[in-house]
Amino acid sequence: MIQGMSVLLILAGLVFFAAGSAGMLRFPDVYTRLHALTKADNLGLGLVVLGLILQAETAAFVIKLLIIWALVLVAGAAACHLVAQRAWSRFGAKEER
Amino acid sequence: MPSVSTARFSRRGARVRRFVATLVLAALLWWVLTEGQGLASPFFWLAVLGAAGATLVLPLSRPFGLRPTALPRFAGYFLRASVMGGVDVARRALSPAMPLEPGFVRYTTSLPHGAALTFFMAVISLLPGTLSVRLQGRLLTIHVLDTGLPIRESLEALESHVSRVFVMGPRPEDDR
Repeated sequence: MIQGMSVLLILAGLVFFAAGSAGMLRFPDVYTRLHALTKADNLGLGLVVLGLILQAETAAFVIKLLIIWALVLVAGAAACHLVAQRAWSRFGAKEER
Repeated sequence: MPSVSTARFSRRGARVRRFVATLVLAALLWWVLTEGQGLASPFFWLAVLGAAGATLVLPLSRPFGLRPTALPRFAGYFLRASVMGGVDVARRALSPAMPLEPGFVRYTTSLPHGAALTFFMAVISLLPGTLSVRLQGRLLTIHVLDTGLPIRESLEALESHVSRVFVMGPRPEDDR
């Protein structure tokens, strides 16, 4: 039962990773692509982490997974802002490709 | 009014405290992530000393505190918003019509510079359809996926959540 839930959550997470990658390829400019990557991947990783927590045997492993998720969130938000700011100072609002 | 020399002296104290705090926190992180192994590895020392050393050259920020009673409500809000943000962008990316109405929105925040504002900008990028692009003074430029969404309302909601969580202290020049 718990195994099934775990697999379901991880699969759902993978769907969001796939959607993020689809957005990365299909969206028209750097800003919209950043939306796809940050939001879909954060939710995808969150679901994968949740699925793995259900299989965790020790509390230490649960804490480790949560820290990994938090670190990816922080790094993702910071990197996303850096790329967006750089794109703005290069191209401004006119950027199309 | 503190004289210039005591201000400089107290700033050094704040830097040393920050250095030690980062050292301890980075070591703890490493310890948890490696599950108690690898503390003797040269990479451990490289990473931990590098992280702590970086705080010596970064400017001091305003001290701040967190309101623990406000955290559960924020966590709930944050999780709900991340799910909505992920679902929204995934739906747009996978839909054959790819409904996008991108544009830029300007928003003037009343949050003080420092941790609260940094946090606000980071969380904006996780909300449905918004992405913080740049900050000039207190004017934020935000990229939105769909200009038809109620952007201003959701930014105001996030801002009031952030101001409930953070308690900002005085600027580092003032005292300490």
